[in-house]
Amino acid sequence: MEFVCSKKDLQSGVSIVERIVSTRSTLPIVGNILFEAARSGLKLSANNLEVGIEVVVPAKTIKEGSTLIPAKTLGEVVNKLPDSETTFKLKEKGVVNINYKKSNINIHGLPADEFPQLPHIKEGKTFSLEAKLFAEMIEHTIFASSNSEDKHVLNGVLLEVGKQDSSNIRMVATDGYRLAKRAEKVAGLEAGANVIIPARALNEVLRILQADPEGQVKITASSDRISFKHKEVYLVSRLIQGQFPDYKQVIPKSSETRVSVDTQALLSAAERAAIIAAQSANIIKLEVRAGQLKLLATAPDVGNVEEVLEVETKGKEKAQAAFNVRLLTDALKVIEAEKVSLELGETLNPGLIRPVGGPDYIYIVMPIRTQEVAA
Amino acid sequence: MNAYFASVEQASNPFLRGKPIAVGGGTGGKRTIVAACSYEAKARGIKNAMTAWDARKICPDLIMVSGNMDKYIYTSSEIIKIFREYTDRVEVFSIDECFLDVTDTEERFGGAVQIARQIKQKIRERFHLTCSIGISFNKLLAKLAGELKKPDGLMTIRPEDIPEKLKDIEVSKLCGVGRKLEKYLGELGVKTFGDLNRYPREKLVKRFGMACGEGLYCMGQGKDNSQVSSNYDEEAKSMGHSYTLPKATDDIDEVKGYLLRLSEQVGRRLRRDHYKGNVVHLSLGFEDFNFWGKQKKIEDHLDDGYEIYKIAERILGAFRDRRARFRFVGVSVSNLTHNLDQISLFEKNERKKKILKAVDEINDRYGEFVIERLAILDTVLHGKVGMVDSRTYNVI
Repeated sequence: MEFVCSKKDLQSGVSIVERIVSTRSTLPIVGNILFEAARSGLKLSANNLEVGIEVVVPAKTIKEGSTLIPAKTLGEVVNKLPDSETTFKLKEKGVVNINYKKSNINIHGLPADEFPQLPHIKEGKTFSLEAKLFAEMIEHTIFASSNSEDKHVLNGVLLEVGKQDSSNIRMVATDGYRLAKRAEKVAGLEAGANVIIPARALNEVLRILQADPEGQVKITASSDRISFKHKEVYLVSRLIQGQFPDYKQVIPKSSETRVSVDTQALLSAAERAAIIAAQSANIIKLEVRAGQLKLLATAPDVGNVEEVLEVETKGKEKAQAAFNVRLLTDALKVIEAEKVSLELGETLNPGLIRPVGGPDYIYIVMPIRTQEVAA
Repeated sequence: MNAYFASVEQASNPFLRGKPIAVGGGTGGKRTIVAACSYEAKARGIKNAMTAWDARKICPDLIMVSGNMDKYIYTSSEIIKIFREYTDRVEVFSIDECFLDVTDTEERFGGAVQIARQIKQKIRERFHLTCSIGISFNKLLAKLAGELKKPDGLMTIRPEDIPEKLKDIEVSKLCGVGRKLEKYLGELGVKTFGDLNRYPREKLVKRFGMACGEGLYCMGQGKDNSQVSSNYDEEAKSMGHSYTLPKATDDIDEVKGYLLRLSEQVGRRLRRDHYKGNVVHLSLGFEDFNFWGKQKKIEDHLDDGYEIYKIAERILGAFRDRRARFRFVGVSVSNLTHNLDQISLFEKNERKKKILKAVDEINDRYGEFVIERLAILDTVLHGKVGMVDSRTYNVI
């Protein structure tokens, strides 16, 4: 194997695949990056047995071939290379010679044939989406998924393709306390997917799409795997097996009080209130009364805060509920619309946030039962 | 309080009054230890920490009573409420000892002695218990005064009593002088308060080091600058339970059984006091007296014993030594929040909370762990509450 590649192309390729490399796996070989030099270019692959990524970067292949290079060392070397052409050459005993300008580094590689092959889905449903739209759908939902090992099915985002109400594709995530659902109508999309994608894999997809939001992403789903192809990048992940909770049941049919409020103003107010609330379990109280929305937080040893926002109220004029402020700001951070509709019911009913004027996004957050509320 | 555990038992059961009784973790097995004994038993030569076996040899008509920690804690907390009628500065020193700072309030009640008399009367009337109260101008001497007259004493030490009135008191009566220190002081010829009072400061510092020597010197002068710190209302930082196995085991499933039971106890306590926590700590002790502990932080704040167990079990999974012989298991939950209940989106989880509440209510009414997990039936801890057998009380 021998090829010549620019530092820039090499670095962008390595940075795409290295993030999923697992250095603490029981299978040490997955701590490597697979280099495959072919006439068409240089293919870099990583595989942590949950998620696999490969990317083709422009390179001039002198001699076809392949090898494994330890990801950690390689990543550091590539980052520090001078801005010049670099030659990689596989020498005897698996040593990889990296040559730049007049200097060179030798790294001990491993034979490529032991590396676990990236699975390619043979039987599955395939559809394409605009990369920009898919990135937005991921961004709107992924933060609501759970990190808790106990809530296996909630560690992912549900992707549904098929007609429901006015949409034909939906993504839903929840951690049991809040739920985010983004729906869209995409022309020419055929029915047939209902899968839970691990949030860890989707995070990588999001990063890849955000780095290059042009064009289409091709998605192929089978019963146990899903793959994403975007230009030169291919990512494949296992799916989470299990029954995603029936989200339709928890979406409130109606709300008693609806207020329309400037998104940024609400976010800033909530973030200020969060400073105080941080010392009292992140609890803030929302109060709607007489055309005003108040955000209140008190921490015995710190102080208290009262944020007042002028709002348009529809329905019942008075409402109040206590929430974990982090759950509110998480959603407000990803909503681009100028205004949001904040909807409240009885004190212990869920709160709801949606962007005014679209897109089709709904965020549900459950309140906190405080002593005061219980009394 | 005087012979506290035993007195509480005698107070609550008239048949035990005036008889030699001992309180322990059972009713007479070979391993049972006398945790406390009545004055009648003390008069017969019974001492705390004797085995029940030895105690019976000295005093065959000794009545062994299975201890009931909940009852003692409850009685203590009720007695502390009485103290708080006289001052807000109450420092709980142990289950049966408190310091009260009445500097600012004594005038209102006619002086410290008057307060002490009233407290003694109230405790006697309400609980049939006696206590010894010591009054002085600092904690060291107040505690000493309380120690000097037992049972049912009331004594005052004034500044002018030092050193004359106290000179013959043994140093071991002083709070902070344990058996070891008593021995070392004895080697210097310091046996009484009077000896300590006269002993030169430099020599104490030379023998015991700066901190301890200086402390002993102050003690000898009857000085103590420590404040009565009201710890009564302080919020809990963590809650835990532990258990020392009757016999070391290498059976991990047996350990898990204890762990489940302890976790349920922790959950129960968290719920009772309206706490939840999201850091679970597991500690293990081994036959060779080594310890191992690890903690794990999780997303949700928990108060469900079974959820706590699941985390503790996962931590246990990280313990790799397969040859270990376990002697001690402990589980605790920290990073607590008070009065906080994040409602779940899913009915299933809210239903679980309701079930726990119902179980708690039943156990409140009919006795601890009347309802418990089937898995616990297999463990030695089945039927036990704290250090004692639940079936000896809480009978309806």
